Amino acid sequence: MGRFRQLSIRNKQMLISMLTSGVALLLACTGFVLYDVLTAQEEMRQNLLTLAEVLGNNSTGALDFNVPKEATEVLSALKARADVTAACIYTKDGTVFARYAQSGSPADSVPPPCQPAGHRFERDRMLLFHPVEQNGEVLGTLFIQANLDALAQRMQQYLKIGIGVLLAAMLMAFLLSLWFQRFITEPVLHLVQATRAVAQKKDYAVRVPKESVDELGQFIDDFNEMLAQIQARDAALHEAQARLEQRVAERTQELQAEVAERKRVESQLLQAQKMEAVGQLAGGVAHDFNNILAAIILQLDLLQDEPGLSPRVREDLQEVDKGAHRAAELTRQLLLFSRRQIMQMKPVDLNEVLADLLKMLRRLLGEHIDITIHGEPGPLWVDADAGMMQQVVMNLCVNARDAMPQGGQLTLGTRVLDIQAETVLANTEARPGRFVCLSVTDTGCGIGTQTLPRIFEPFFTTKEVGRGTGMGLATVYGIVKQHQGWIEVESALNVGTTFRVYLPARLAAPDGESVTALAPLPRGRETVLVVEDDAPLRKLSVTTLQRLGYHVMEAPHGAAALRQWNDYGGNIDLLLTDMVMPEGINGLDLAQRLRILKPGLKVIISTGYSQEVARLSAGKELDLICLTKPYEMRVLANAVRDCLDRV
Amino acid sequence: MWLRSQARWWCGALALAGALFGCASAAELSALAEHQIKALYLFNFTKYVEWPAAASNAAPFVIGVCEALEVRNDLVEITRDKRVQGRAIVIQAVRSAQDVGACDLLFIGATDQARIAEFLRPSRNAAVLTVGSAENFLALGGMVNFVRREDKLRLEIGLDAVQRARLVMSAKLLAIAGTIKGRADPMRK
Ligand SMILES: Nc1ncnc2c1ncn2[C@@H]1O[C@H](COP(=O)(O)OP(=O)(O)O)[C@@H](O)[C@H]1O
Repeated sequence: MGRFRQLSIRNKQMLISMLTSGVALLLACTGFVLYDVLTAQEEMRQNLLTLAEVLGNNSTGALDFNVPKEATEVLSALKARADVTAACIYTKDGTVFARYAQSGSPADSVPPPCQPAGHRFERDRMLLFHPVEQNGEVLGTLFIQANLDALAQRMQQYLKIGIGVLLAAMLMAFLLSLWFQRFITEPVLHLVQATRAVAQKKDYAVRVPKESVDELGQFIDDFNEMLAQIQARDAALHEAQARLEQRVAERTQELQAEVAERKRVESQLLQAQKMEAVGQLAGGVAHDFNNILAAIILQLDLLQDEPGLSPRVREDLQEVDKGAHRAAELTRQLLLFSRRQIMQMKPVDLNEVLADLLKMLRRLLGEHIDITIHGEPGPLWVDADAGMMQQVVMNLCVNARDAMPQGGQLTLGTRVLDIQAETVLANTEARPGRFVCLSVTDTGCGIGTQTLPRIFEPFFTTKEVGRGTGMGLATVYGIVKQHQGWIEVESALNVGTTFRVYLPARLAAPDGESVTALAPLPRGRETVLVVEDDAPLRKLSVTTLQRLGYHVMEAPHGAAALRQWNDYGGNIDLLLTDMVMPEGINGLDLAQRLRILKPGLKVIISTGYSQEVARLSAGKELDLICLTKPYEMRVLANAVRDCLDRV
Repeated sequence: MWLRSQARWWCGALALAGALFGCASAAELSALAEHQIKALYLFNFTKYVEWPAAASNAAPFVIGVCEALEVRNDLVEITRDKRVQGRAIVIQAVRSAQDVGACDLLFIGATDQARIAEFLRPSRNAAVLTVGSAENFLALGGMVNFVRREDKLRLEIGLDAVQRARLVMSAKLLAIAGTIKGRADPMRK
């Protein structure tokens, strides 16, 4: 069986058809021969039966009248029959009555004992027992033994013919299956070739030629159809794969971009948090420092107003005053950075700011630096503190100068632009909307990547001691932040640096604004309650106000102020209070309580933290004035007068 | 003496009955007494001889026995319940020539020639098969004669007489006959 499996389909088919026809033929031959043998046997039996009938009939007389000789003579007629080898007549009781033996055969062979009527075939002979009857009366039995030579001969002939026919049939089957193979094996071989092409070369474009419309043809059709489908699917798969790869690549790129973006945003956030922390610290120090300075400056003012001072002392006092103002400036810068400076918000035209500054800048920067201004035409209105804006520009320009010791190009630019939501994503500080951008570009040394993240820190400087304070950019940062803006820096080493300051654009042009001219300090006679926990500062404020003609009362904290109020009742016209105070009551609380007792009470709150007031008063619709510490006498005088004159 | 003959008869009768009931063999046949064999043969003749068609099937087939008491007795025994060509068998003792006319088969046991001739005469032109057991039986005009030869009972057939009586005798019977007298027989195979 295993060998048969290994055969090629061609040989298999050949073998099958030959085997089939051979077996069929063999069966047919066998059947035929069997039938013929049976027929021949039956024929022979009939023949012998007839013979027995005749012989028996002829022997009745001999039996009836007991003449064995006659019977023997009757039997001797069998000489004519070559096939009958022996015969015998038995009497009724089974004894041998007469016998016959063919010459040549063993004559002395004893006849078999008498048996009931019937016949049987032995290996090479046939035995027949037949009753001898007369008128239905049984007289004896006749036995005939015949050889099967004729039968054997016939069989031999059949065998020869059969083998001949078988061989001829096999040959015919062989030739026919060779011929018919074209219709079965060849399509199968085509199929096999196609399948191999598909399996090995992945070539789904092959098709099997259809040669018939039978099941094989149907199968080939289906196979081709299947190939077509696979081909289509394969193409689709390839396409899908390509698409997928493309999408993976795109997505990878997107992810990389996202990761980079997140890193950038994270570092920005970190930077912002750092700045906030530093701001808190600096602000805290500056607040206390500011109070001290305010006291010093007020004291100096008072001292300088003292009549009868020697010119030398007056000169020294002026020097001290200068120093104190420088200190105050530094403190102011710190407070600016920490965004605790109170701003004088007014509509400001940035182009005008630049134009105003230009002359001064030229002087400041020197001959070797070329200054260009690319201003967007027309006024660029922002809500800003003009002084602070000047400071921003100055600080940036000074830095540019320092970056270009050999000289170079400084470009100042302004423009209005609408920030889109997408752009905002790139910068944590940016917001969408209309902004005015102020850019300061130099062709200087540039800022290294190590340095870049730190430049806005207060006291961070790369310049030698005495030249840089490290507060320039910190101040700029604070100011811009306080104006709800942000700064972008673009820098390349040895190529240059660009700082871009974004400030929210004011959407409408302002009405005409008057510029306050310097005037003598305004005076008054109203009653003022000064609440300040810092004793020297309180004293200074009280003295200053008293000099201006006001009736002044004082208290170190809120509780004391309430007591004072009880003593003087409604006589107090204005409350000047520090924001942050001990004893649990802050300036705002105090103002609110007193307003309950006397609605319409005028209030000025002094503070180093402008935002604090804004935060605390938010939503309370308080009518009050904020005074930023440290303040000068003129500022205090103006504030008090303004407040009292409000309707 | 009587006793002896009685015993012999009985023995023979028994053997004959055995033969008739299917177990008689050639050996036994030869063991039978001569009268018994004769009786058996007489009956057997009815199978090999054709009589002209009888007037009526109802008429019995008459076997006449003349001067052979033993044979007659045996015949009675043998033919009991037997028929010849569908006719019942009657065994008749024939004592005078007048009785012959009614017979179909006649056995003449006499040996005296005159007496034989006397019994043969009335059957001369009738369809009567005449059987005898004497030297000149055929010459006297008989048809079948029992002869003892080599210690065996043989038959002699006078064909002329048979043909004259318009009886047809089977070739088989002729074939086993020891002697046939008369014309050369064309039926002999
Ligand atoms: N335009 C610029 N070009 C190159 N470096 C700059 C520029 N602006 C600022 N820097 C760097 O930032 C640092 C911090 O500047 P800043 O805060 O203004 O303090 P200062 O100017 O006192 O050093 C500088 O020391 C300098 O290294």
